[in-house]
Amino acid sequence: MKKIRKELLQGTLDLLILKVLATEKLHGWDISKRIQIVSSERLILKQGSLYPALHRLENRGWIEAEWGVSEAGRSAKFYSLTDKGRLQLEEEKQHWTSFTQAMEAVLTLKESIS
Amino acid sequence: MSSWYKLFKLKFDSLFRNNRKNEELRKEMEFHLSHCIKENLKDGMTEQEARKAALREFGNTEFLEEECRDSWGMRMVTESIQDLRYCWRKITNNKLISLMVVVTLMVCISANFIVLSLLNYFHFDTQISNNPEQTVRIYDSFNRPNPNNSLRTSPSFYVERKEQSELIENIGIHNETWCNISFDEGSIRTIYRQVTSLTPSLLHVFGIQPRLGRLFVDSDAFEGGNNQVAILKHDFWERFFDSDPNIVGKTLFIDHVQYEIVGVMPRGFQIPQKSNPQNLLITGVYRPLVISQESLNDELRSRVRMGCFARLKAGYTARDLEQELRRINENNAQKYPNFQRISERFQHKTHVTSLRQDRMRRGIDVVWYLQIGMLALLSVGCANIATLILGKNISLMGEISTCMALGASRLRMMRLFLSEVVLLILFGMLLAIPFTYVGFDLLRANGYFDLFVNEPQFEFDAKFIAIGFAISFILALIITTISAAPIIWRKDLRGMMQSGDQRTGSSGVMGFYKGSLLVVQIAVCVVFMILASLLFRSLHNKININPGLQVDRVFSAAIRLPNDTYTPDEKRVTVRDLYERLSRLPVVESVGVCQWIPLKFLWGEDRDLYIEGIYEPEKPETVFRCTADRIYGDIFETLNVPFIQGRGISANEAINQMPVAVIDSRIAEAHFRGQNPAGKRIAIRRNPETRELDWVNIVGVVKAMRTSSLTSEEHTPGRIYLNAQRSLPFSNGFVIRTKNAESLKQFQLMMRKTVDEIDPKLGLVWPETMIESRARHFHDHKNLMILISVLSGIVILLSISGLFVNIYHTISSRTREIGIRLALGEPSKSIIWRSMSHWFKFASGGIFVGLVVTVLASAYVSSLLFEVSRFDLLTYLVVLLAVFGTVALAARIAAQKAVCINPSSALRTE
Repeated sequence: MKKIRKELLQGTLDLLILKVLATEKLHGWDISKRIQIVSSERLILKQGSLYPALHRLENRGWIEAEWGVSEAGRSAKFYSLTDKGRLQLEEEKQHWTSFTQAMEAVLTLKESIS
Repeated sequence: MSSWYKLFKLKFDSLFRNNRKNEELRKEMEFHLSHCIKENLKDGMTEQEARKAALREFGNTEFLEEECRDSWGMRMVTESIQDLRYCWRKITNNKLISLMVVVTLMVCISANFIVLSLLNYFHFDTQISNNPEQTVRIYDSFNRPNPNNSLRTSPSFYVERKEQSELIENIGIHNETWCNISFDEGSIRTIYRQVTSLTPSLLHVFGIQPRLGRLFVDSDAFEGGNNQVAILKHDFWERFFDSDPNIVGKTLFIDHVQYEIVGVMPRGFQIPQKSNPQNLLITGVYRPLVISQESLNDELRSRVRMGCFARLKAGYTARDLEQELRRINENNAQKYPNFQRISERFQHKTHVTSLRQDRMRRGIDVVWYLQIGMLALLSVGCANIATLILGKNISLMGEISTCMALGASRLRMMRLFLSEVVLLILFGMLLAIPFTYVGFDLLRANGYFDLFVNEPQFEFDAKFIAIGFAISFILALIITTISAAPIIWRKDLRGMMQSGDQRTGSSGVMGFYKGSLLVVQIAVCVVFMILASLLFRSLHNKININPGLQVDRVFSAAIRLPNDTYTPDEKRVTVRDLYERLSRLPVVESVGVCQWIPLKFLWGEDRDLYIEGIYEPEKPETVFRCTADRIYGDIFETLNVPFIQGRGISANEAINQMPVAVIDSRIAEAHFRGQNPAGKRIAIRRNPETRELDWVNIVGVVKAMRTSSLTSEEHTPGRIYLNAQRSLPFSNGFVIRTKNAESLKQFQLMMRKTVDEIDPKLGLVWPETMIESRARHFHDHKNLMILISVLSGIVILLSISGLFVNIYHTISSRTREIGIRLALGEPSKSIIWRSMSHWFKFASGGIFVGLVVTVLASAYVSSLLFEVSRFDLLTYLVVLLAVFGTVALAARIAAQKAVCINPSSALRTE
């Protein structure tokens, strides 16, 4: 399966994080793993780039963090979606849908017209 | 927990719990890495390979941490806090330089606050008019010898302009007379004050509302109407009526005529006068001016005795009005032949100046002095601070190069230096606030602001703070650029780190740069020290000028004899009676009567002067000008004015004899050079009936007294003294020399008693010793001199101390080098001499540049100098010695201290 190029993910990382956190509280490692698994390993993040994004979203009030204990018994920082984040997720989803529809429309254009 | 609280906590933690946040971030990343490593191990990697692969996959942790910190949004604040900490360390590490910089800033900022407040008074004050730009002074000049005397106009012009000008919205005139003012009929509490008569429209021209009551209305000035109404000036109301709030409706007596008080003007208001050294010549009471038909005579046009002000219609300027009035004059000159004749003969011109220009002109000297002072302070301050900070930065060159080698950007380093300067400026400003208050109060309490008619107020408002900060910030940028940029933009970091010698700034590029800056600093010192000293000497000369008469043990006062109670003959008899009574007093040595008391009434009566043998009726150039005075008694003996030739006018000069006159040396030199004027005939007026010249015999020549002003260049063409017994004196001034200083102190009481014997209702006008008259005359200049002295003193102190600290610090930072020299066996004396001679080179360069600039700059201040040349050798020598002395002293002390240190300790010095 072909992996999606990294630059395509620019700008969509926030949406991915918000969506993943919509289901449950997760720490950074789990978030990256979850994206990887759900996308059938087509979306592979540069590991480190996750953290500036998480801190940015936390600073905007879309996600919140608290320290807890991981399955392995180590202390880890767990992120969860806030109400504000939930609204933002909906907005981002709509943007994404309209963006993909627009892209779809352009890409399915019949060549005979031109 | 609400979301805003969480966000606040997040920001708070990132700002104030920075270490904890960083620790948490590291822990979080470590947790992620540990999972990566675990996964890599599962894939069969060794532990080392797993860690390497995890790190590779994760990315640069330092960089990612930075990115995370950026996302906290407090990076700038935290970096600024770091910068401030670093700056504080730099400041405290160089206490002497930091102290000098802060003191320099404090003094410069304070002085500039005060100077700005004073300049603000000249530019923006609205106590006199609510619109100084649209309010104009109108005056007519008639080729008088002293143009300052003619900022006035005549009633005829006023009436014409009121009727014919289309640019004037409102116009009014005024004149001043001295009157006896009493507060109830028959009271012996009579004071003598100036009363201003003005057309009701004049107060409306200024657009100022009264503090109490009302302004005059047109019906107050109708001829034959109820003109006996008065408005009080604020200080007069405070002083003589104890600020009585119910004053309106009460009465006072002006020359025994009852006036009803209808209003009080607000504080600070007064009709602008021409520059007046005697503050006592300020009006106390205003009354309506009735313009009679007689005063509109064409012959009286050149007797310009009325002050005139107008308010322009919106959109017009003073220049527009001046052109319009000149056109009106030309038209009227064709209608009235007398006007045309006078206009041509005296080269009549009409002038219009806005109140703002007028005020600027009156205070022009003060404004110049203040602006020069401000410029001097800023220049010296900047030069000092730039060289001091450069010196400090050069000594930190090793540290700077290390920071840059470790990755600090040039901009970051520049920001560090800028932060340091801003921090120092903030300290300076904080200290400047109380210093300014204290300085302002000190100057005010000692009356140094009396030279301003309205005392300027120190306004500590947003405008001044904003200006102060703006100036300071620009200065900080300039200073930082000058002192830090050459270091930060150097490319050879290794050279910076290794070059021990260059760290002291004594050689190489930095040495040259620092040397140049030092030359500039010394040059600025020299320029402003010389200019400050010249201005100081100039004012000192003004204060110590010889007026040409001796004032010790002389008392002076005048009496005014109202026209309604004294006939001309009675006046003459009364003056003579008082003269004789005073002469008989046992404590009196001599008494003189004159029309214009010297040092009090400095002007005089400008007259045409005809000299027999020179005057030809057809040739106007044979008519000269002079100032006339009428005297009686021993005026010259009393004032100790020596006779150069001939004799004085005897008190017993017979009326039926040929009238006689005494001329002063100025007239003798101008018209009788190389001759004996005694016995020659001159005339200053024509007989009103026959139109023939009234010739008088010159009987003596006295040394000229300064008459126009003691504090400006003499312009009057000379003075002629006539016998007061032959004509009615306008005023009756008495000068009395007592036998001893003790009796002088009590003489006012004696004179009051003597006047009471003649008529208790007579007010004693302006009684005081002539030492007091002289002191008051110089009061303004003395105050100005103190202000200038303070400014000059600050400039000189800052220059000297800045230079001293700079040299001292530079030599002290070479202790290590000096230690090596000592260790290598160079004698201490040689080291000291080497240090001194090194600095002498800079001093010579600075002095040379300074002298060149001074010679050029002094041309601009030469008009402010009084009886001192702009090339005054003594001043130049003293300043040069002071600069050389400071350089030598600083170099000697610092080098001496450095050579006393043990060479092994010196080598360890950083």
